[in-house]
Amino acid sequence: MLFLQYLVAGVLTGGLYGLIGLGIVIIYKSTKVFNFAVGALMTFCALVCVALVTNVGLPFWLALPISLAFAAFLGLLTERVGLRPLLAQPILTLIMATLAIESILYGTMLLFWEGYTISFPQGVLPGQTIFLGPIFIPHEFLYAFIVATACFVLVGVFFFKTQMGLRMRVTAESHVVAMALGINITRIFAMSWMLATVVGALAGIFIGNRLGLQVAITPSLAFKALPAIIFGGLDSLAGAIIGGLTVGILEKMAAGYIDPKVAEITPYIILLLVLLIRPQGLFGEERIERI
Amino acid sequence: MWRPCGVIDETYEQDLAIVRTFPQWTLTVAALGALALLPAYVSGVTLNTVNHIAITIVALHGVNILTGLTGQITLGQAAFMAIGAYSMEMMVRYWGLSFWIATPIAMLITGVAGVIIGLPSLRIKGFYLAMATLAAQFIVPWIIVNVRPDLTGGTDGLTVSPPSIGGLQLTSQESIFYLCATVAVFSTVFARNIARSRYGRAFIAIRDNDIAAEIMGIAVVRYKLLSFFLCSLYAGLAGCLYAIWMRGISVEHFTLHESIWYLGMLIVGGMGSVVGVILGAIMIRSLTILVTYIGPWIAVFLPPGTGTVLELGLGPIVFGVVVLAFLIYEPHGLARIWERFKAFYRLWPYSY
Amino acid sequence: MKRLSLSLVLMLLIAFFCMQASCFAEKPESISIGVMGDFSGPYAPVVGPTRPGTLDAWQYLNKEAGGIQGIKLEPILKDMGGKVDVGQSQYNELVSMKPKPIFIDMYITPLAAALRNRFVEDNVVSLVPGAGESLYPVGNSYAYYALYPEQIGVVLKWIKDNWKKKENPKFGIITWDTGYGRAIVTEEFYNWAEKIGVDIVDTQLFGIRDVDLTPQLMKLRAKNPDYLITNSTASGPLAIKKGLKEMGWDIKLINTSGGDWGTAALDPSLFEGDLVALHVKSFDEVDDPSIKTVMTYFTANNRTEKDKSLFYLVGWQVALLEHKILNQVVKDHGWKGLNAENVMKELNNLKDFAPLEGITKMSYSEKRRSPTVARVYKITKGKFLPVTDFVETPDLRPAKFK
Repeated sequence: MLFLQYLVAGVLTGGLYGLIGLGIVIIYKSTKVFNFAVGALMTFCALVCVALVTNVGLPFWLALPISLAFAAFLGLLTERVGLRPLLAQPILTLIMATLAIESILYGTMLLFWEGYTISFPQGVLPGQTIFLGPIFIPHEFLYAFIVATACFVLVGVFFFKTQMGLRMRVTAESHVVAMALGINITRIFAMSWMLATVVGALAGIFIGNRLGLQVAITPSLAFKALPAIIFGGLDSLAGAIIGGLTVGILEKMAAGYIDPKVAEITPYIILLLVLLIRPQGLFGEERIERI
Repeated sequence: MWRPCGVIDETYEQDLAIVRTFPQWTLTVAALGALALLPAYVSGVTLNTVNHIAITIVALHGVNILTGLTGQITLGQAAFMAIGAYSMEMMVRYWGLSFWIATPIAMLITGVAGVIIGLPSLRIKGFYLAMATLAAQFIVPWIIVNVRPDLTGGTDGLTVSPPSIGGLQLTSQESIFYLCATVAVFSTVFARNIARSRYGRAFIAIRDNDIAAEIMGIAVVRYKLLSFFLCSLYAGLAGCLYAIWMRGISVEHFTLHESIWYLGMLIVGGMGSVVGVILGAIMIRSLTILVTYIGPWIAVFLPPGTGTVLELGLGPIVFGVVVLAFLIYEPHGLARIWERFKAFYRLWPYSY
Repeated sequence: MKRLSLSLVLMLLIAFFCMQASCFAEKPESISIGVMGDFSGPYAPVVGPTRPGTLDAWQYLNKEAGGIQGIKLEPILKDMGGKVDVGQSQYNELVSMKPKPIFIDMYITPLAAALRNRFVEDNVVSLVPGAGESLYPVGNSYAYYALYPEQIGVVLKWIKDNWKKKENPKFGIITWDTGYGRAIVTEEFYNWAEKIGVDIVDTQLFGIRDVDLTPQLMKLRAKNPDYLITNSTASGPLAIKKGLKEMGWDIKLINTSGGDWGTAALDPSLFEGDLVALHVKSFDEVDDPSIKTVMTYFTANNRTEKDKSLFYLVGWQVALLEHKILNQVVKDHGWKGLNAENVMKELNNLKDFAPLEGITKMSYSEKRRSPTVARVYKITKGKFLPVTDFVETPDLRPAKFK
């Protein structure tokens, strides 16, 4: 019974990790850039959502799409201002650029929200805990989990069923090949940044609803998703979600059966073991190396 | 290695020398002299930052050997520094060793720890390896806090007593400066020499293509681990210096953020270049301090309400914008600017 | 050799200090106080309001209390943004100022702990948070509120005294896995709890970044405690209370300084009925003369609702304390005698100092460097209502430093 409860908690938190991971994977897949600014981006969008609800007074269901639109805009802006000028430069330089962007976003957030913890007004997510016998399922997490699954399905359909998705996959394969095929890869990059920021914003809103938002602490929550995406493979969409779930479950099991103290590092130890056996993550694409 | 036109080596010694020509010698001696006299003409606050830069340079040389030369991305340098700092302080505290004996041992301990963390590098490449070193960044503080909190002080950390040399305690910034600067200069020379030795060339071969390197007869396993060992050695040394500079250590000093920025400094400075290491460390460390003055300075000119807010937020914004602007202006790092400048003044007043 | 060199350094420092002192034996133009803290980093939700608090308090002191014999006091605020190395550099800047500030307030535990020995060497007096490691073994550090386990102790004692049932009250601890959170998990605390007859049934830790605490809470529920104890702030108590609500477990939470107005305002309905130990009067006692004075400045300077938190009052408290001490030292020893030794002597003899008509009570002694009072508050309809007056906390200093 306890086991089931830990499993439920793990799956539900894992969904949240998967959602953050999805945002990182989308960008990595198409641009090969690891986005260190993911935490700052998701916090920013979530803070905008809170501001729309509390300061402007919009209902949550209206504030949500507006803040997601803002997220898309912010992603576009980041790509255009920060990364476009560095096109075709060494990958590490681009990663460094995301670090610089993170600093800019952090400062901008401080201008508007200072260092206080900002919380959503209570009950923006309607409903209450569902009890299934002795097992309880918190509704806030359930929403997050449903949204994560929906995001995963939508992004999957987008990638594998649409023309644009096909272009994105070609770009992921090789930038040169994509350009030779007449694909406008700068547009693909902009697209993937927008998509990733929107997914991140959703994660940020759920986290904010849970823990409140603070400009220095909330971004670091994104690092919780790191073992998840390495676990699944940096360039695999399915891997992000499955990795998220695995890490979530591992964490709760470790906290439940061993000691909460080891919960945070258990994913990393498992991660090291996985990497030793499968260096490209569980679902990552195996690259055949040539000289 | 490029050299000015008309300089011709006549002996093997000349060919091997780092400092070649008379003007170079003059400049080197002048620069070292200026460095030695630095405490006389800067204030204690500036000197404090200079010390931090020196410590950073030591740590960054390690990152440069591992990431710049060998091509193995690391996100765990701060964790290695923590190992060095903690093992030094614990040896001083519980075994009564002096700082001067404890530091080399602490460096070796860190080196061994680095080799262990480096083991996955034999199979993992690229950003996946970065994540493996990231695991160290989480596991090491956890071990420090949880395994023997009675010895390591747990989350509280330890205060560090200043080392003494011949009865003189190194408490003032001046004395710490001489220690840090000496160490930084020697580690720079050592790093420079590593890069052009057999080992350095093997590292570079592995970075460019490890399979090709293996075919050419380079023992990839050995050299990768050696690279990790050297990186951690530097980190251990930097950690020990950090401990006596800060006068207290806890896991909150060696954060993931620090580790990420070590990589960041290297990229800003220029990968694989010793000059880049120095320039990157100077730029990021001094910029971090300088931007803290910008907010309060501008806030004076603004109405009271908006002023306080700007005071907090402006620093990080300026920091990010400057770094981003530098990257866009010169994506290959500050070292490339330096190279261009050298090429310019050698040819001046001709264009080529 | 070591002792010799140490005394040599100390003598040099004293000589240096005497030189300094003679430099400004005349009346200085203004007296500066160093105020360092993490006003924009991860600790900002708690200590952020210290900024406005300090500024308002010094405004009050310069305007209404006449500074120190007419000399204005000037707080120098430094924000280290959560970076310890930046903080260290700012500290160096403060102590190299001329004249050097005698008081340096630290609103950041890791830095206060790391620099503990430096305060002694640099001859400054520092006011630090109530975490044991930044205070003991005693140097030049003084806490502005009682140690965290001592604050909890006050609540435990109060519950025990009002306990009707036969068996001992049972408590479960769930706290942050950080230096701050673990400050209450000390041997002295457990021993003392056993002595007064309350049972600590379980101790669980959770990370700052944990969004879900199900395993910890499930384990605690299995032990069936009457109350939960935490030492965390902002997102910490919020995560605990949300988790409790979701699992349908109605249990009250006991918190220290971290459970102040700022935390309760995140979701007032969740924290209903919780117990918090604070060392100052409540914002909600609107008729109290001390709160009235504070609120005059609060509204005059357009402070927002978010500034209504414990550390706003701590900013006041520290400023009032420093004003009192500096004033006393100048009165007794003249401007010449305004140095760290005299200030510390004055602080060590402080007994039941209740500034501003009793906004708090402070006593220090040579061996005990934290105030020894706290009040138990119950959160009722979002308001902090006192259930006790200022009561003496148990002495839970680390045993080896008693």
